[in-house]
Amino acid sequence: MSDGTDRPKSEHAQDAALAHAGEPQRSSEAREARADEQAPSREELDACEERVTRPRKPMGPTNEVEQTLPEEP
Amino acid sequence: MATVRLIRNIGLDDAATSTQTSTVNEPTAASAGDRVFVTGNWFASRSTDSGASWTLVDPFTTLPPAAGGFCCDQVVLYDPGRDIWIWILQYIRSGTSNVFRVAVSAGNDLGSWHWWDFAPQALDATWTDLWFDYPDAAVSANHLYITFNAFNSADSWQRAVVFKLPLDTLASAGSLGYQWWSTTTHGSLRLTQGSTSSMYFASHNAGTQLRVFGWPDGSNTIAWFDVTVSAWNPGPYSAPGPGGVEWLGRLDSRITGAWLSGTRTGFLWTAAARSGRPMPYVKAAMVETATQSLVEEPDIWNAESAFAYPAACPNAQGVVGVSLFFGGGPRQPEHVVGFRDGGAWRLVITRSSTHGPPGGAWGDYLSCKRAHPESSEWVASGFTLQDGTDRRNVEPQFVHFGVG
Repeated sequence: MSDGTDRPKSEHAQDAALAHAGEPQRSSEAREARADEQAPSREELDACEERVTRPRKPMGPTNEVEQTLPEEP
Repeated sequence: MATVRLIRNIGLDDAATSTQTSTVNEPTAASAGDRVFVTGNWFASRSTDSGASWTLVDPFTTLPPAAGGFCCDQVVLYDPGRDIWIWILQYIRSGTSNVFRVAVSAGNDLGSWHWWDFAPQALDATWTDLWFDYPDAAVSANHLYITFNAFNSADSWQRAVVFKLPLDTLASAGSLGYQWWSTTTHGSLRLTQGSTSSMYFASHNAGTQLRVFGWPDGSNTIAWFDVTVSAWNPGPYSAPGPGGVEWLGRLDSRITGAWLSGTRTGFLWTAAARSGRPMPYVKAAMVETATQSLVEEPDIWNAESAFAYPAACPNAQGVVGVSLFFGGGPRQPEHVVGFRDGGAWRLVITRSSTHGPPGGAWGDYLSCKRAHPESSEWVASGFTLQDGTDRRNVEPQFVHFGVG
């Protein structure tokens, strides 16, 4: 699968799906932000910092066997 | 012995970021001649004079809002083939779903944008409780590839999605048709920088196996194979620096650096300490795609301090450049760049933090890209903490480097 034209040589393969996003939206540098889309305040960013520094979300399946904790008698 | 030559090594000051900075900064950078674009949590900034001066490109307001408003993760790329900038932005959930945006600007403009928004429901109408997070992006000869994880509203990982968008349509602002593929077995897919006719991406299987996926530019078929690497430890991670300050509190073992050079792919991730590796280090696996076999494991490690969060990219000659962090032991977190020189990694510290982060928060990704038009050189992003531990003390770093 290194030459970009041949079918992949692996027996493990799937086809992609197709979708359509249509025409783009456009803007220009001179666009003025609406009143409800101002940059967040310092306090709002501090709240963002609290959220973003929480423990990270899972990276996906790890397929590792979970540990076993026996019950207390 | 080759050395690392720092051509430009610039910290972005408060004016460049408007102090819209986070200790989980996730900076990315791209350049085209004197024009530079840098993104991070929660800013973007551009320069037209090689980084001598900067203009804030506020990701909250430069473009109209979408979903619940601008959130966080961003990636910037430059496609020299079409002379376009590509800016990817992640938006906050509105209800149980969100969008990401792919914005495109002409190379000599960097101010007039056109863009498309992508929602999970556009791929599958039943994906109503799904939102995109954690992007990666890379270009091949003719396509932009983007990966995202997708979570449900309980923040439980559900699937990873790969998008393949034609660069010609992105550049011409035409009606965009695209391909996509999804997996529920592998997450945090990392794309190979330096790809031309085929894109590769990878994720861990259980234990010491990597799954390497390939998607030829001219095909709609994704194929994969597995490769076994030597033993490594997926955590826990710890590398306290001066004063016992931890900076690896958010770290996990996902692949953060990937490249393609000739027919060989390389993958980098951070592994925890183990026998023979007393500190967390960058685990490396180089895979020959023609034989689907592991060919080399050139770890980046140090006995005294940790290496973490690697990004990688080959230059036009196939030499692999890297951008990563170094810290712990006697060192506060430092940003490091360098390249693979025969059998060794040549690295140089671009900037050292004066403090460690509060709460162990650092990361989550960096970037390393081929410079343009100096295609034997690289541009990289990093960040450090300067003169304090507050998020406002974070200074993103833009680095242009080459072989000395």
